Amino acid sequence: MDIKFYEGQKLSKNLNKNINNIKEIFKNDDILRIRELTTPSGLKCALFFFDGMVNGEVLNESVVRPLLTFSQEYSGEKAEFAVEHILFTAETSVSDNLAQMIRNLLYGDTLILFESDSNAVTVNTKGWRTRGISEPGDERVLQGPREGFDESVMLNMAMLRRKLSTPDLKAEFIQSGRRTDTRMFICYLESVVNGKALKELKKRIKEIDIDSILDANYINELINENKFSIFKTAGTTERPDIVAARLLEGRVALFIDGTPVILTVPYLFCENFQSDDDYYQNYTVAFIGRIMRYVSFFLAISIPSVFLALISHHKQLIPTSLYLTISASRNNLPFPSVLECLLLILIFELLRETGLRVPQSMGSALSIVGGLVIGQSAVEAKIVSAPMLIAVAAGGIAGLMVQKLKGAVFYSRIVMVLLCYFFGLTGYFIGITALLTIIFSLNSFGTDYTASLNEISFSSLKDTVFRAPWFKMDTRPVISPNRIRQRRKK
Amino acid sequence: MKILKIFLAFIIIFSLCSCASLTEMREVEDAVLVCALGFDRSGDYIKTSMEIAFKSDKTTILTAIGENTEECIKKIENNVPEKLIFSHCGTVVIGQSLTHKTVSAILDYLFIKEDFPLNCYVVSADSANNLLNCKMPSNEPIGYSIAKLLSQKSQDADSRIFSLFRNEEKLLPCFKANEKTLIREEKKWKIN
Amino acid sequence: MENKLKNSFSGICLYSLFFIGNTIINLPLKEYTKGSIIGFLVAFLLGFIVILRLNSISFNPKNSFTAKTIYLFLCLYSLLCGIVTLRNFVTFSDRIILPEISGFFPTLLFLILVWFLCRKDEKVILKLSFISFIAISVMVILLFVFSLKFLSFDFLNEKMPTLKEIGYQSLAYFSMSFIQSVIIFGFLKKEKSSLLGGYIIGGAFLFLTLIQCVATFGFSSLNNLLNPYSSAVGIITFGDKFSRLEGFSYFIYFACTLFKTVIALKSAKNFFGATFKRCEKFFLPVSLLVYLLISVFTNIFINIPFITIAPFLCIPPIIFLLLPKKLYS
Repeated sequence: MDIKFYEGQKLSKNLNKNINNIKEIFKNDDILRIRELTTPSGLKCALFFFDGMVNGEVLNESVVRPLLTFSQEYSGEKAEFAVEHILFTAETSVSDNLAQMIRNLLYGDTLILFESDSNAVTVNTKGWRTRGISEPGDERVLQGPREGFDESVMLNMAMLRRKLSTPDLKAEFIQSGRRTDTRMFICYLESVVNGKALKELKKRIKEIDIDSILDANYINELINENKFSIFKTAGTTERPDIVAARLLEGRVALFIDGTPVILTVPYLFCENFQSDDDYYQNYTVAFIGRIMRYVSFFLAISIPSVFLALISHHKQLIPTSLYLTISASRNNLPFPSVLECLLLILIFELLRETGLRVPQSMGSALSIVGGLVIGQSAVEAKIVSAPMLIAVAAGGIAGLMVQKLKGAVFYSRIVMVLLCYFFGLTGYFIGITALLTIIFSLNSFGTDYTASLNEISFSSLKDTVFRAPWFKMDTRPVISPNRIRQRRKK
Repeated sequence: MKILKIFLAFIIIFSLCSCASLTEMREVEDAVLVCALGFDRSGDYIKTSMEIAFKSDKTTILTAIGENTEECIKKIENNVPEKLIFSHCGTVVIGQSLTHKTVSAILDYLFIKEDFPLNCYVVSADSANNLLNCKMPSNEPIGYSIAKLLSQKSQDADSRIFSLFRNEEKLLPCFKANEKTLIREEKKWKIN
Repeated sequence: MENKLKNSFSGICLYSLFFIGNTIINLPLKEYTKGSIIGFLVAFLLGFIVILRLNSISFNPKNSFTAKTIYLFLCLYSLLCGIVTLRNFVTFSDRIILPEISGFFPTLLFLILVWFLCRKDEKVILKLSFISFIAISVMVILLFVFSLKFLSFDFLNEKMPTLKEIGYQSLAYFSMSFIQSVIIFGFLKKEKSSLLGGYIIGGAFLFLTLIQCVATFGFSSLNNLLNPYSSAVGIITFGDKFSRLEGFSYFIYFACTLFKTVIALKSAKNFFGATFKRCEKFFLPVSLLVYLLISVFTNIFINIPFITIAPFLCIPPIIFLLLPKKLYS
């Protein structure tokens, strides 16, 4: 049964009846532990907890020991009395809502039921083991903080709180998922947040109706307004410093229990080219990296397709010596150039994907297969031509520079290759224009995907194609509301 | 559902367009480069010689005789299975046996021809066919050798086709074939 | 946060590409003389009057019969400007860019792109024009600089043209490029401050390309070239290996044609919508189909003498500009 089934139900005053009720709810669940005890003063109670989810020491020292050693007289409501005079824990709550009690019990709290009292005490005894703080694998930096979030949302919130020690940081609690009842927090800085994005995010999360939420991507796909777009419109990160930086720029972060991935909205197109390293190194070094990423995105889509267009339709644009080389290398090949190109793109993607998933011990074998077999032998056997292999490989390597646009680059590349083969450079220009049009018309939570281009000025473009030095970063980026734009006095 | 219909319609249109559009397209290996053109007089007709590079190290000289340049070129095109690419032509050699009127007609035709490069060099020789039959020590096509030689000297820039049409005085550098090499002559041949 | 465009630089970019339009593909008249350059400058100065007049009017659709008639004529005029632009590019594409494949399919694809762009917000078109303008301005300037060693300014020594010749040439440039700015009236309803800037920059780039073509080939041989700018770019070599730059001219032609066609169609749609509100949603598909049929299946625009079409391009907008504002706004 879902927890929602128990909404509105209350406990009875009979302890045995309550115990049987809870046993019935958790029938066949052998991890639930029930400890019945009576205090020296005659107070009968029962403890419920899940083995492995509670901190045994806290439970024994702060709950069991005080109950077993309490010998004074009690008065009034037993639950209230226990909270005020017996228990040694900082975080407790009293409630008669059965659904809430079950939620807390399932999340690692201990439930204490008393005889002749329909209220129960919930004690925070969470003690499950977590992975611990480690550097995220996909977001490594050469310089800068190396901590990353883990699967516990409270620990993640604590890490964020350490970065943003301000009462302006708000964290609104929300739950979703019929069976998982996943806990989430919507975080933002009240004085700089993009109000439209915040309102939109809350509205969309409330509309979610799904069985389970096990990762941030479940939410991402459900709240995305551009459902068939190849570009993502919500950012993801596993680093607390990045979340803090994005909150300071007016974005909203969504923390989800059970995953270290945090969603941030709104997400702009220029963020696909931003790297964490850009802000921890000198701006002159960051400038090179940024420019290279923009150029790489363009080259990843263009190199194989333009090459194909030139050899198919525009032979007059190829330098003469190169033309003769290409012509000689393509002699007696079995496949037309477009098939050859698509085949090589497919093989490159296979190698890339296999490289991600293969065990480390087999990595070297994979590089031998990729390099020697495909690179050298296929060319010598006249299955593919060397210039085409170079063009596809160059495009593939350029695509690796912009990991955040992996999917977009792949699909765009295939479409561009087909357009260029059939329609030459006209097809290339049409494809690029269509791609740019799609990018410019996207929307992320009420903000233009390319909001930086709404105002052509230094202040709006200073963290896009280049990263201005910190002494020039006087204003927040364009997604912040106008009312607070100055970071510091000029 | 609407998105799916639009997507399917797009795929069908695209496939039809794409397949139907490939009527005369030739890949790079199915086309050959014309490295040089030569024109001589053959009685009352024009003899056109064409240096064609089939592979990077192998060139062939094909000739045809016709009333005008267009006819000669068409005859050669009909005899070669591959498509001829004129846009990489390096040199045009005008035989000194041709009249000035014929030379003007040839150059006018080449100027208007859409795929002919306007920065191609124009030189003269006693016999264009003999000049094109020279073999350079580097095995490079003769058309490109002459073009390379002329591009190194700035005073020869005026012998490109577009410069010839721009200038009032049209002077062509002269070359002579000598067994296996070229010899650049001091004199220049005036064609207007 | 507001999603509006904040400053007018994108507008300048769009309008400069509009003014370059199809004039850069093949300069209007096949009779080049020194009068072409002077005629261009005269037409450019006359165009200022048009721009100043356009700056003082704004498109607030009125419901009167007179206003609707004016909008209908403006709609037809916009469509005419669009089809002339498109036909120029299609001819160029068919002959030079893709001679091996049938012209129908690239044209169809181009019109699908135009339709796609016409359905988008003005903001998207402005941002796209900004990106294109940056690329095109760099290309035009760099190509001019690289071509300097091939240029010859002997044409300045030619005899001065007669007034009749200058008038004829200026009519060509005026009708093919500058007077067509009237269609911008229906495109952008509020933001027009960038019109003058775009006009000056577009005119400057056009002049640069004209000088490059004339100085490269001279007047007499220019008359034999179908696409002078593309040929002028084709002869540029930078060092021994850096050559064959015509691809850049293809992009310039493509982008300028695209933006001019999109502006023409969007303006026509706005004018049509002001006249027949109910049928507005059918306008775009029908007009694009007509464009496709005309641009591919007829050759009327190739052989038609320029002087025959010039009145249709000049007279309607001049009449419109002379009308009092209160009739249509």
